[in-house]
Amino acid sequence: MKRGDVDHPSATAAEEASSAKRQCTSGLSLAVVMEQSADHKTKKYDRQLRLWGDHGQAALEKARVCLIGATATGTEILKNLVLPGLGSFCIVDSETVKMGDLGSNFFVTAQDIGGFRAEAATRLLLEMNSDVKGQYMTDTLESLVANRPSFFQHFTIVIAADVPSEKLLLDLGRILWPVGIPLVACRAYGLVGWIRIVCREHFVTESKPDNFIQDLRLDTPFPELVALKDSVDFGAMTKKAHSHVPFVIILLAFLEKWKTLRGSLPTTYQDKVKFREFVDEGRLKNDDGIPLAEENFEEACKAVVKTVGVSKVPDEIERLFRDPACDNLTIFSPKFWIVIRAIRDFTVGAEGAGHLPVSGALPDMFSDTESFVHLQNVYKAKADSDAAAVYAKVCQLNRDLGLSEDFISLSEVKYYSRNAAFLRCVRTTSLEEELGEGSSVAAGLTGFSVDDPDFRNSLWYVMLRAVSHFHNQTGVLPGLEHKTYEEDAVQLKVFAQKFMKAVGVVDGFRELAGDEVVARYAREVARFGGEQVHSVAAFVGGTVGQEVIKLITGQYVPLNNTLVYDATACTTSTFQF
Amino acid sequence: MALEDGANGDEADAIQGMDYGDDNVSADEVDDGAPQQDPRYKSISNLILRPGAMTRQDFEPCPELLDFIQNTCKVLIVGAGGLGCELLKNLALLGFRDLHVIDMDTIDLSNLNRQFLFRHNDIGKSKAECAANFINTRIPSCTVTPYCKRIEDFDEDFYRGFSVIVCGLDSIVARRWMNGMLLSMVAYDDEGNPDPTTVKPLIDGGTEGFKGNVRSVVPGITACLECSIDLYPPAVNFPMCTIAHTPRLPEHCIEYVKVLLWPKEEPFGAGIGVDGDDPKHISWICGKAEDRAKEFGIEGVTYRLTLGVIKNIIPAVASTNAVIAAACATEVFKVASSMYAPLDNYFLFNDVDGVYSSSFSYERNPECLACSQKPQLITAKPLDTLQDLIDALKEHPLFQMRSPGITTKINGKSKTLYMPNVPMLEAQTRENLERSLADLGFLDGQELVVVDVTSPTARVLTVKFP
Repeated sequence: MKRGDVDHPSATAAEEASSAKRQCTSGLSLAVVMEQSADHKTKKYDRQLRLWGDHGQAALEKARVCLIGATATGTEILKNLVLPGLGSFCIVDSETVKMGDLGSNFFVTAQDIGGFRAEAATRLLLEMNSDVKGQYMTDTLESLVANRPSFFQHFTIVIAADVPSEKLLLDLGRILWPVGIPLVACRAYGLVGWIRIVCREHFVTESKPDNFIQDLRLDTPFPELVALKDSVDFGAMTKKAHSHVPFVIILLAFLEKWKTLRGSLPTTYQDKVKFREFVDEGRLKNDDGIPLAEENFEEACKAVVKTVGVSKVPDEIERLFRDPACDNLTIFSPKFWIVIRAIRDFTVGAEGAGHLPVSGALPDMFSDTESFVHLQNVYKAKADSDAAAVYAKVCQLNRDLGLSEDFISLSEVKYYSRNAAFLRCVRTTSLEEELGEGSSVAAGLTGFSVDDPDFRNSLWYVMLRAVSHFHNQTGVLPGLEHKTYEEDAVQLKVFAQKFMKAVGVVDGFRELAGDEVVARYAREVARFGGEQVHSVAAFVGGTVGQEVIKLITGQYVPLNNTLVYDATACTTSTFQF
Repeated sequence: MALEDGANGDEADAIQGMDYGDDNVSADEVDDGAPQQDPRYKSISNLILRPGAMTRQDFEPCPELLDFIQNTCKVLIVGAGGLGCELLKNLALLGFRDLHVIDMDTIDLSNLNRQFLFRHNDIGKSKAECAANFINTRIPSCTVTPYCKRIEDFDEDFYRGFSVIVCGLDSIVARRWMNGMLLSMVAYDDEGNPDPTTVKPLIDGGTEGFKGNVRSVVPGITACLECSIDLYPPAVNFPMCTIAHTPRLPEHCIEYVKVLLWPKEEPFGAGIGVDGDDPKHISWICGKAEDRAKEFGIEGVTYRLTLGVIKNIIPAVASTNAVIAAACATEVFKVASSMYAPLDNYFLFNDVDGVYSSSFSYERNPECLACSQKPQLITAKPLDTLQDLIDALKEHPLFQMRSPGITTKINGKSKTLYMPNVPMLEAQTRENLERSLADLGFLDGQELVVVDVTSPTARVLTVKFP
C-alpha cells in the first residue's frame, strides 16, 4: 500500500503570489497580493463564473472528491473537476500502470509503466492546476470498504469509476447512503457508457431552467403594482409617452378594463386571443384612424399568452409543500426544509394569499428609462418585503425547533425567496433497490421497437449488468481473450436472459428482447473485450464532471438517476431504476 | 485533508525499489490468438479486428484497417481551443497518428479553465504549437503538425490532403467558410453526382455553457452547415435609440460608452479603438458605464459584465467541451473505419436539467446558398439603394453575410459596385451606396458576383425586380 501527496512541478502564479506574501515586509502589502491573487482567479475562471457565479465557485473550491478507479473514465472525470478549480481530490486505486492504459488513459505515460496508476494520475492531474490539492491511496476498494468504511466520510462526493463488482458497489452504497454522501457510479465499456447517481436527498437552490414562465402577477397584482398602474392615465399622455409605457402596465390596465366589461379574466386560449385583439385596439390612431406602430403595444400583445393567467404555484413547488419533510420539521432538519416550510406558510397565509414570494426580476421591455426603473423598483421592493416576511417565519420556526434564531441568515433567506419557483429536491433510489433487491429495475426498462433508442439503451443496460454477473462468476470480463470471445458471447447472453427473468421485465419488453436480439447485443459486448475506448470514457467523464459540479454547487438539476450512452448510434437515455 | 495512515510502509518501499520495466509489458503481450496487436491499442484493435453483430454490413474487420487508421488516415483539427484540445487527445488515444491542427490564436489566462494542454507559462504563445507539443510529448506515437495560421491562408490543395476534417470553432463565419471550402472541392459528374474521391467528411462541434451540438456533414450529399443557417442565433443588437436615449439595462449603458462615448472622447488617443484584451480599456468603459447607470438609476454594471458585453463572451466549461469533443471524435472514428453508420446528422446535448440529448436528421435545404448549386434570387425594387441591397444580404436569414463586396456587368462591362475590404476600392465605390439600383444601371435579372468572409468562393446572385 502506498499513499502520497504530489508536489507541483512548476512555479505558478499562485506560488508566486504566496512567495510574494512571504516578502510582505519588503514593501508589498498583503492586501495587494491577496487582491492580485483574487483577480488572477477571476480571470482564469471567467468563462465558468458566468455560469455558476462566485458562490458556485466557492462551493467547488471547498469540495473534497474521492475517485475510486484511476481508469480512463476516472481520470477524465477528475480532469473536468481539476480544471475548474475543485478543492481537493483523493484517488483510490491499487492497480499498476500497464501498456493497455497508455492507449486509453491520458493521465499515465510510458515512464509510469509498472508504477502505481494512482500516483501517475494524481501527479499528471495536479500538474494542470496549482489551485487544486490531490492525494492518492493504493489500498484496494475491497479492503477500504471492509476495514475502514469511515474513510469515505471525509468527502463531499464519492465517484466510483469502472468498478466491475456489483457487490463492492453495493457495499460502498451501504456506507454512503446512511450518511447522505452522494455516490456517482459510472462505467465506460467498449462503446457503451453508464452513469448512476445515488443521493438520498439533494437540494437545488437554483435550477436555472432554460425556458420558464415568469410570474409577473398580472392577474393578481399586489397593491403597489395596482397603485403604479392607477397612476398611469393613457388618455392624458403625449404621443411619445403613450408609446413608452412598459407592457406590464399596459396589460394590467387592459386586464382591469376587460374584467369590468366581461366580469372575469381571460383564462382559456381563445379568451387570450380575444384579449390580445382588445389590447391591440388600444394603440393610438393617426388622424385617418389608422393605428400607430407602437412597439410597447406590440410587446404587450406578444406577451399575453405567456404572462396572463399563469400566476400559480408551480407543480414542483406544490410537491415540496406536500413533502413529509416539510411538515415534520425537527432540530435535525436541513435548512432547505425549514425555509420551504416558511415559504409554504407565507404562500398559504395572508401575506402570500396563494402566491410564492415575488422574485423581483423583470425582463427588459420597450420603455423610457424612468418608467422601467420605477416598475423594476416596485417589483424589487415587493421581493424584499416578501423575503422579510419569509425570514420572520424562518426565525419563528427556528425558535420553535429550539434552534438559534440566526441559524439561517436573512441573506440566505433572500436567496431562497427570490428563487422560490426554482427550488428542487432530488431523491434517487438507493443502489440497494437497484442492484440488491432489483425491485426498481423492471419498470424502468422501456422501448417501443427494437430501433427505439430507449429500447437499445435499455438493452445495453441489461448487457452491462450481465457483464458484472459474468465477471462475478468467472473473475474476468467477457471477450478478454481473442480466441474465446465468441464463446463468451454465448455465455453472456445467458446471463442477460437470466437477469431479465430475475428482475421480471414487462411483457412488451420481453417480446422485443427476443433470443436473437439479445444474442446480437451479447456478441457486440463480447467484441469490446472489456476494454475502454477513450472517446467513450471522455464522454462519460464530461457528463459525470458536470453532474458532480451540480451536486457540489446546488445549481442546475442533477440526473435522476441513470444515463446510458450508446456511442455506436450517438444517443443517450435516462432511466429511473 | 486528514487521511488516516493505513499504508504499510515496508510494502510501499519494496514496490518503489522494484525494477518493473519489462515484466508488465510481457504480461500484457501474451499471445491470445489475436492477430499481432500492440497492447497499447487493444481497445481499438478489438473493435477493428473482431467482426461485430451490429456493425455496418460493409464493415470488414482486418489488420489493414488498423494500419489505415494509424498510419494513413490524416485528420485535420480546425481550432485548438476548448474543443480542439479535447479532440487532439481523443483522436490520439483512438489511434490516429497523423494529426494536423490549425489555430492562429494565442493562449490567454481565461483559456486555462478548460484548454488543458496549456499552462500558465504558455500564455501569449501559439495555441496550435503548444497543443501539438503537449500531445507529441505525452503520446509519442502520435505526430501532431501545428499551423499557427488562419483557415483562409490555405487553399484547396491543402484541404484535399486530409481524410476527415473536424471543426472545434467558436466562430460562425469560420464554420461557414470551412463548409464552403469543402463544398467547393466536390467534383460532380455529368449527371450531377458527386465524385466520392473529392468528398471530405466534416464533423463540426459547438458548445455554449452546458449546451452543445455535433454535426456530421458529407459535403454534396447530406445537409451542409448552411442548410440550417437559420438555426444560428441572431446577434444581439440593441437599438441605437435605446442605447442613446432610453437605457434600461446595465448592458445598454456599457454599449452607450462603447458605441457613442468612446469615439467622441478617444480616451487612449486618436484613432485607437476598443481593445477587449486591454484591462485599462475595459476599466475606463466600466467606469463611464457606471456613471451613466447611476444617472439613470440603473443597477448592475460590473467589470465582469462590461468585459462580457465588450468581448461578446460565450460562457464555457470543461465538461461540455469534453462531451461534445468526445462525440465528435467517435464520429471521426466511425467515418474513418466505416464501422457503424455515422451520425445522421445532428446531435444535441444539454445538461442543465438532468442530461438531455437528441439525435436527428436535418434535411438538405433545396434553397441552400452554399450547397444547392441553384442560382440564388434576391428581390429588390429599382429605387432601392445599393446600401439597401447590402443590408438585405446581411439580414436575410438565408444569406446572413457580414461585409459583402459586389461586382456585376453593366452593358457587357465588368463593374465593381462596392468593395468594403480593400480600402482604395472602398473609397472609390463608397458613393455607389447611396445610388439607386436603377441609377446604377440594374435590369431585372441582373447577375451579381458577391464575395464575403462567410464563403471562400464568390457567389452569383440574381436580382429580381417585382
